[in-house]
This record gives sequence, C-alpha cells and structure tokens, in this order.
Amino acid sequence: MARRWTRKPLSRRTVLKAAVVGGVATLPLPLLDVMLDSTGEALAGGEALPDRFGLWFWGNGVRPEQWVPPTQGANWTPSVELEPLADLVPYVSVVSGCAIQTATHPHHSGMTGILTGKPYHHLGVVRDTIVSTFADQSVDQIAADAFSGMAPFRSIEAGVTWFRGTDEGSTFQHLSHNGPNNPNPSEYDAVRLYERLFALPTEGARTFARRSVLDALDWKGQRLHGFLGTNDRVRMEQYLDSVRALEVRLEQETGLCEATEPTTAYPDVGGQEQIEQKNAVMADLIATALACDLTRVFSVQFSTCGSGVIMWPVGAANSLHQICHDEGLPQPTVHAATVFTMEQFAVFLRTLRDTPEAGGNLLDSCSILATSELADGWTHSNSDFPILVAGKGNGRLAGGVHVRATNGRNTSDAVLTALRGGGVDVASFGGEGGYSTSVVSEILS
Amino acid sequence: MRWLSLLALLLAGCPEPVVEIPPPPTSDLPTAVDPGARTGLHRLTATQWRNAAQDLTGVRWEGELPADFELHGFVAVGAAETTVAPLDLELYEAAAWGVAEQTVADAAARDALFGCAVEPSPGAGELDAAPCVRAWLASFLSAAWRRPASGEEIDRLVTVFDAVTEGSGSTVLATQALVAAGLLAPDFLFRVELGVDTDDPELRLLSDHEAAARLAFTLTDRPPDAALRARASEGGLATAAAMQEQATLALATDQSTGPLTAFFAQWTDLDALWLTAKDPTQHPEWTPDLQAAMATEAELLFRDVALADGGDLRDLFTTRTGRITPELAAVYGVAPPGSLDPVELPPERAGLLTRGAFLAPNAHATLTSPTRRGKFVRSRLLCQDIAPPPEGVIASLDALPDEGTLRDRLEQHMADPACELCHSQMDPIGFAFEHFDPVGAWRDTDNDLPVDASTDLDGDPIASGAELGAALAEHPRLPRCVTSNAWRHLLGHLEQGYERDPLFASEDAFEASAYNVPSLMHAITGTLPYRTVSIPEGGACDVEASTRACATACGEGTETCVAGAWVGCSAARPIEELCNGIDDDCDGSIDEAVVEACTVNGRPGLRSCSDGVWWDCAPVVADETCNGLDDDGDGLVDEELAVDLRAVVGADLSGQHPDCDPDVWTHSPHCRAATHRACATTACATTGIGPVAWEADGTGGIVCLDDTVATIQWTTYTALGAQHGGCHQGNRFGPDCNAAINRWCSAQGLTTGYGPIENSGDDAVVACNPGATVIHTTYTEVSAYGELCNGASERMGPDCDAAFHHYCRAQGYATGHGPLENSGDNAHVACIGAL
Repeated sequence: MARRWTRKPLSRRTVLKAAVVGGVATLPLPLLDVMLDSTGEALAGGEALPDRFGLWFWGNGVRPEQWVPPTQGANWTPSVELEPLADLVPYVSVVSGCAIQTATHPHHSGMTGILTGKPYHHLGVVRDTIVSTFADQSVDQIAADAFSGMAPFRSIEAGVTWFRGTDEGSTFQHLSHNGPNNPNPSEYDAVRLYERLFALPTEGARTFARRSVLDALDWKGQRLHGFLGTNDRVRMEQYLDSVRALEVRLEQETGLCEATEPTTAYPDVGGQEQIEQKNAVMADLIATALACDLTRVFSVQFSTCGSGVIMWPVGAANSLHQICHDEGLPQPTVHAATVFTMEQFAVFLRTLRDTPEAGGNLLDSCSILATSELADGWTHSNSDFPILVAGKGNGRLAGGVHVRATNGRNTSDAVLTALRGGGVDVASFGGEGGYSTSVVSEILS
Repeated sequence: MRWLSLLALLLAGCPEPVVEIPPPPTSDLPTAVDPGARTGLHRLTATQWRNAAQDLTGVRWEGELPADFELHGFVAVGAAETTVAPLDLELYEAAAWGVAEQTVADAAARDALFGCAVEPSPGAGELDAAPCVRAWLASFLSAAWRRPASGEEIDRLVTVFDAVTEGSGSTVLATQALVAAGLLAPDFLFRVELGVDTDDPELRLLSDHEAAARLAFTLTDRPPDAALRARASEGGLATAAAMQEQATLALATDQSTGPLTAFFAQWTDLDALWLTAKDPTQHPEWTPDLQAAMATEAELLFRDVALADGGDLRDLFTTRTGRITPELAAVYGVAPPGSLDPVELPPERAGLLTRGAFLAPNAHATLTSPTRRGKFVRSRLLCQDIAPPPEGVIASLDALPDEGTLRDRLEQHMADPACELCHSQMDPIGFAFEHFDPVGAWRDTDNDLPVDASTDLDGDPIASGAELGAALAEHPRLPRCVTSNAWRHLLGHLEQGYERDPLFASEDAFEASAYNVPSLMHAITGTLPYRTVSIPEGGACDVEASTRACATACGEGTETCVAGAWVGCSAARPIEELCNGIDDDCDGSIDEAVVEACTVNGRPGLRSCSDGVWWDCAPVVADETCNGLDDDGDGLVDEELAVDLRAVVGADLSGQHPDCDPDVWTHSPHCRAATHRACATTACATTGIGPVAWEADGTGGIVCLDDTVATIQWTTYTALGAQHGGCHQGNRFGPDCNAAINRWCSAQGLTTGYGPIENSGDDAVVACNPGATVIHTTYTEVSAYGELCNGASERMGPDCDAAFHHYCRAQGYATGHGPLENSGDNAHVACIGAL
C-alpha cells in the first residue's frame, strides 16, 4: 500500500512567484489567461488543465418514485426531488435503475458497494445488525492515487451534519477510506478546515524544523515496520504515508492563496443544527481550495450512512433514519428532507459553477459522484440506486443526460464512468460481485 | 469455477482420492482488521495522549486531537485497530509542536531543560552541544517512548538538532524540534508491544517496559510513573505475581477512578444519550442539560456503588441512591436537591435500570421501546445475542394496529411465530419498564390505558422495573458478561477461544471478591494473555544474515536471519521411526512401535518390527471400518457404515486443509472442509461431520456419513441469505448459516443439513440429511451430555459438537449435529442414523 510521492513543480506557482515584487504575495489564484496556451485549452507549459474528482454523499437514500426524472436522454426534466438542480441540468447527469450487485445487508452493503464496488468487511455483530468497515479504498482515494503529487493535499475530506453512529463500524462513521479500519476522517469545523488549508506558514526556519522532524519520523517508522506482524505493518504503512504527505505539503509553496476566513464554525443554535450555513461555508472552502490548486480530490459527507440527523428545516423532530423506518408511505418528511438535501447539493454545485477559471468555471473541470447508501430507507432497497455525476470533466462528461439502466445494472459501471470522466484512467472498478469494466457511455462525451 | 468442476469429478463416484481441491480464495488485500489478533500497536486515546504529554513535559495540551475510535463498544478495541490518517497526523503534529513550544519557550527554558550548556561559551570554537544534548535525549526519549532509547535512535535525533541549529541559528528551535519528534514518533503515539522470546517457542511475553506501559495505560490512562518504571528496570515484571502487585498499587490510586468509570460508560453506552432525539413538543424537558445530568448520574452511581471500598457491582441494579440535578429531579418527580450530594429516591427508582441513562436512549422520540430496553439488557448486560429480523421484514411500528397500549400492540406482534422466536427474548423484559415514559418519567397510563408492568425474566415473575433490576443483579449470566466486557477493555480485543480458561478464572475471582470491579480488573492483570503478545510470523530477528545456534531432537546446528525471520536450522530433523535398526525419531529407542498392515490368509493383519526385522503377520479382528477389508471377519466388506465413527490423527485433517488444526479440536470452516474431504475421499462415505470429541476424555475423530444419510448439495449464499438474512458472504459460517442451511435443505424436501463444507465467493456447498430426525430440545438438556454446551459458555462450537453427538446417541441415534435453530435456551438438533 505504499504510495510513491512525486514532486512536480507547479507552473502556476512559478508564474506567480515571478510576479511577486517583494514580500509575501497575497494574489488570488485564478488560472490566468496568460498561463494558458494559444488554444486556451492547456497551460502554457503544455500541461493539461487540472482534472478534479469529488464525492458528495448523503445518508438514507431518497423516495425513488419522486427522484427518477420523468424523461430520459439529453436535457432531462427534473423530478420533484431533483427540481433544486433545475438550473444545473446541463452540468449534471442522472444514472437511475442500477443496483448494488453485492447487496446482503441494509446500509452496509450499499455504502461499501457504491464506494468500493465490493462487499463490506465484516467485523462482528451488534444489537440487531452488524459491524463493518470498507474492504478496500474508497473511490475518491482511487482518484487520489492517480493524481498523487499534483497538489499539496492528496485529498480533502469535509463533513456537514454532525450525526455519527458509533457502534456499526467505520462504514457508518466515515466516507473516505484508505482500507479496512483505515478511514480519512472528515473535518466538520469550517474554521479548522480554513486553517488547515490556507493558514500562512510561519517563517521558513520553523517549516524547515518541522520537515527535519518528519524526516526522522520516516526513518523511525521504517525501523519499527520490520518487527511487526502483517496487520500492524499495514497500519504502520498508513502512518508513514501520512508523515510523507505532510512532508510533501511543507515542501510546496503555500500561503499564496487568498481565502475568506470563516468567523464561526456554526455551532447549533437553540438545539438546531445550522445545516445550510455549514453547507455553504464548506462549499466556499472547497471551491477556493480547488481554485488555488491545493487539492485535486475532495469528498463531502453531507450526512453519514444511516444518519440520525434531525432535519428540522423540513419540520422533522426526530432522527431521519428513524423517520425512514416509522413514517408511513408516501413518507412526506423523508421526501421533504431529500428535496432539502438536493437544495444543499445545488448550493455546492453553484459555488463551483460560479467560480471562474480559464475562461470557464471550476465545475467544468470536475467529475463529482453524488450518491447515498440506499435507494429507499423504508425497504432498504439497493436497487434503482440514486446516482448523479456532476461536472464536465474537462470535456469528458456530456452533462444533462438521464440514463435509465435496466436489468439491475451494476452501480460500479456508473462509478467507473465518474472516474473516467474525471480523467482517472483505471481499467476497472470494484471486485468480486461488484466488479466492472463497463462504462455508462451515454454520459460521456 | 475450476474448483467446483473438480469437486464434481470427485463426487461422480470416482474412488480416487487424490484430486486437490483448492481452498476458498481469500482476499489478496492485506487487512488491518482482525478483532481477534493480538495486535502490537495500540494507539493512545486522546486522554492518554494528553496525560502522557503532560507527564513528560508538564504541559497540558487542550487543543484538538484525533477522535477515539470505538469498536465493539470499546475505545481500547478501536485503538488496537485504528490508523493514523493524514488528518490525524496533522493534528498530532500541531499538538506535538504546541507542547514543544510551551515546554521550550525561550533560552532560559532550554537551559533548565537540559541542565547543561548548549550554547558554546564565549571564546569557544565549534558548537559542542552534542554530549549535553545526547545525555538529555537519552533520558527524554526513554521516558517518552516508555523504554530505553537505542544509541542509533539518539544519534538520529542529534543530527536533527544539529541540522536545525545550523539551518536556523536557534538552539531553542532545535530543542523544540527534539521534543516534537519525541511526541510525534510512533513509539509515543502507539503503545508498542513487540515482546520477547521465551523458552517456549509458542509463547512470547511482553518486555518489562511493555508490561509496565500496559498496566499503567489500561488501569490509569497514564504512562508508567517513576516507581513503575524503576520496577520495570529491575526485570521480571511480566509474571502473574509482579503484574498483580503493580495492579494493586495502580488500582489503589485516584488515577484509576476515571478510567474505570470510562469502562462503565462504554459498557453501558452512555454516549447514546447524546445521539437520542425526543419530540420537542411532547418532551420539551429533553435538553442537553438533562442529557448531561443523566450521564453524570449514571457515572457517579457507578463510582459511589461499585468503586467504593469492597463495592459490589450488583448493587448498581438495586440501589435507591442517586445524585441528581433539578432537571433530573423534575423527571423523577422528586423535590429538587440543593446539590449533587446523594439522595434517597423513591422505591420505583431502585437501580440503574430505573434511571434516565438506561430508559431514555432505549426509547423512541414519542414512544417507549420495550424491544430496545429488552435488547439492551440481553446484549449489553447478559451478553446474549439476538439475531437480526428475518429477511423481508420491515421493522416498523406502523405495521401494528393503533388501539391499546404499546404493550398490547407488541404482544399481538409476538403472536406471529416468525417474530416470537426473537422478540420473546426482548419485549417481556422491556414491559417491566412501561411505567417509564420515553424520557424516563413515571406514568400510570399509556394511550390512556393503565400500564401493566408485570412480566417475567426467563420464567421468573417480575412485577416492576425495580424488581427486574433486582433479578438481573442475581442473574447467573451477569458476572460472565461483566468479565467479558472488562476483558475487551483491558486486552483491546474480543475475547478469543484460547482465552477461555483465563477468562473463566477471572470471572471466578470476580465472584469470590463479591463482584468487586477493581478486583475483577486485578484478576485479569494476572492472566497469561494480559502479558503476552502474538508471535510475528517466523520468529523475529533484527540483524540480516546473522546466525545463531539451534537444536532439534537429533542434534545441533545453526540457523540464519533472513528478512526478519530465523530460518534453515541445519541440525538433522527427527523423522518417523522406520523398521531399519536406526533411531529415526531421535527419542533414544530403536524401531519402537513400528507396525505395518499386512495380509494373512486373505484377512487383514498387523506385523511389528524389532531391530530392523519384521515379525510374522498376525490377523486382526476389529470393528468394521471403511478400508475395503473384512475387518470383523463376517464375510462382508465395509458393511453398515452409514454412520462411521473414525478416529483420525491430526495429519489426516491438516493434510486435507492446511488451516485445520484438529489437535485443538478446532470448530472452523477449514476443519469442516477437511472433515468432508477426509470422508469424501474414501469409498464408503459421501461427507462427514467433525472433528467430534466422542470419548469422555475429549478424544474422538470424524463421523463419516454415506449417501443414505447425507447428500451433497450446491447452493449460493444468496439463496441461503433468503432463508436467514444473517447468512451471507460477509458471514459465511456460524449459527445464522446453520439456521439458513437447515431451512434451505428443508425447503428442498431434504429435512435438514449442515455446512458450509466448501465455499467460495457466492457458492456454498452444503450437506443435507434426508430422513434425519429433528429434535426440539434445550441447551439445559443438551448440557447434560457436555457441560460447556449450556447456551452460556457455548452455543455452537467444539463442546457443542460433542454434546449434540452424545445427546443423539442417548436418544438411540448414531450421531447428530446442531444447533440448527437456536434462541435463548432453545436448540434444535438433527439426529442421524440408528445405533
């Protein structure tokens, strides 16, 4: 699992560094036209425009009868639950009708199936359910492998609603995983995320000292590695990867990016979670991070698998997961919560769309997989799975297409297509029953 | 699939037993996951990190640290599995530098830290800080990493000091770098346990320093103090007596109170209070203050009752004392106390189960939940598992009619036999608490009808929640459940089969101490598993290409360190004794016990050897066994072997599947496959059950079945999952699959069955037993044929395999297996063949 770290100079920084006249630069970093070549479709140095891959996740599924768009093919007509994306249809494709091929358990199979294309890794039982983790790295980390070394942060993980279960394993707690019991925890605090991404480093000596320490830790970890059993070697390898990731970041130029510092992390007010505010500020931070090329891979855990979030904005007073179990059909609260969730996803997409870059916008260069761990929280169905692929993938994604798959087509086909659309040229996605080498070609250009 | 076609060849009646069936493929992903493995790395919890950093530097870090990972109910189990993700490392790095900068704020602090000159004195030439830095580093790292630092480690960090000094001109910054490095190394972040060799190649003990760290962190959430470190340096700490001596000291201090209370909070899942929502219009009293008050009440109850001198844990379920805030007093319907001093509550509030910390999280937003409250008692306090709902069931209350109390509605629900099997284990317990509303306040009515809280606990009548608490306190399963949970917390993993005896011994000590929790912890620290670590594959060595002496029974030689393991001992190895006049197995005797089958007058016989010469062949009269011979001389060959008990030796089974170690009477899918193959590869059998200990002394072998009592069937986990949702590719073997296979064979008209006997991916091969007799019995009854198969110690496993076999024989059958279905004391058994 060791990853090779490449250190490529970034030509945008070289250009901007040359433009700085004395002192620390605080220039904003859009991709300036001067940096493009004569076609406007590549950087002046001949490098391609950056590809970005993202993941946007919400828990508990949708109401399928209100989710699937009534029309198929290009320029799809929004359903009620997708109405919030009406102005974004050209940027969003919908893949409906797919099924998780490895479905054996509610929530757990869907979560691991959609994000790894494999069955979950079973850890044990608890209450009337099981404890599980991901058997392999999640799809965002596949993209992170492909883009490794291109930006200071291998990937950024952000979270919005704070509910997290504790006893069904990491499947129910975290979105991005490097492997079994090896999650990349999301940052839920916008102020801390800002500091992590944009805080200026102190003067060079301290950074040099930090790097010297990290270098010694690399040596230390390697020494320990040889004495450990197989399981612990994998864990030590992750520690070393994390040390090296920070080392690489410290070696790259940072602090040349202007971002607005959030004044608050939006704690609950009157017992109510400030969901819309947190969603908006996380969208801003991620957009800025992308624009400043701090990362090429991001994931947003809007709500966790099986989330117990209280959707008070739509009148709910109880856990959404519990409402999915208790509310009689047609489940008006669940439906309203889904519409609300899609409104938040629309805010996220608009933030990217409205950030200009290279004659277009950020959303043009992204491929974003937006999905959940279930089709429907009432029956816990894993068929007719809700999948959106947003962004234009630097021209690889057509946008605006609704494909209605038939015969319980493998969800991994859609996930593989999202990866390819983002410029991640892997031959396959998933394994065992969820293995796929096929793409949903209609959503590609 | 290739292996299935080979199996088909085999089963087509071909008597050639030589086709190798590959074992089911395992994932090629190196997994960091195995709750049973005795891991060597335990990540410090946030509390432990703060305490350890403070003990080391005097600085208390209050900033952010990576969140603890709770697994199987305990942060200690999660700590043994969790990793350091990139975000975690950044948090640790920020914390390490934050502590370093506060420790070495300026030159004066640096001087005080070192206690010797670091800057060159005026007029001196080169900076000659090395001896001072080196001396300080040795003691600092040894304290930080909780074991002596090596010269190489010290050298490596001295180069960091020199490099930072040279690069920045500041020895203050360089000193900060050393402190940060000490705090950021894996040796600080993790409790590292590599162990040391012992005379027994199967046993690897903690080193003295590792043992000290384990004691200190598990009992006090702190690193070893100076006294314990000194004791570790004396040596011989990893013995039962020495560990318990130190445990006594640790448990006597105030510093153990917090960690023991944290154990209680995790065991009873007090965190659920924060994840519980109540309807704000129906229960406006449900506020963060109330949730905090309930958590505090429960923790202080534990402290007051269980951690008092000689405190008895069982009193927790019967005591009427409580420390409550005004908000909580309002819920309990008592006068608000002026302080958090203990008060005496009314009789209905006797015991933890009548308090908010249990009642509120195990209820819904507007309704109570007898099912959840019952499930909590069963799984958390009695360690009895309840199976998941059957496939296709929607676990929703809307499916119930609206009239009546919730109890009425649930009782109607239990009229459905599919629901009754499991809900009868939970709901009756929950009924006892129906006088307590979703927040925990007393109510006389539910849905405007009077509440009926009379119920029973496994047959014993109960009149109220308080009475149920009293019954729970006396329940025979409670001590084992507390012990198992304490075991997970102290050892950092789920209890394993090989830990059974020390765990039972700890339970005995718990009972002997009148159920005193510190005494239970003390007992566990004296067990062997608490001071051992797993042996890295091959036996570890550090210096590549080094050699050391090795010996076998036949002589001495040398072995070499290759890639971290000792390999290639050159001494002659003992082999099986042959009739050759030579001591082949190096046991001092020549040609002893060498016998050989032979034939005399067409009958099977045996001959023995002496000094390289065979004696004459003597005919054997024996019980008929499957060997193509007329063993019992009755003129018939291999007759009446429908159920054939065959004593086998270990090599027979491990030869069929390398992961089966029948010397341990392992109950595992590998031994199941090995048993099947061992039988199927002989002419008289189709498949087999085993290993089964059919003798009183625990010996036995395998039970081969022919095609009159067993038939091989191919199915899939998908099909099995439709019979029981808990049987699937993520859970291929166990009681859920027993039930699934039983139901599947029955659905095919083949009565019952067992399995899987081979499995790969979604494919599952099972053996059905047409014509078998399925008996609905109880663990109580079966335990008469095998003490440990009593539903508490074991429900499925090696002791039960033997017990079910003996039980069936006592009923007049040749053999049997189970459990087919099981719940509570009920167990269904398949009895096969006739005696």
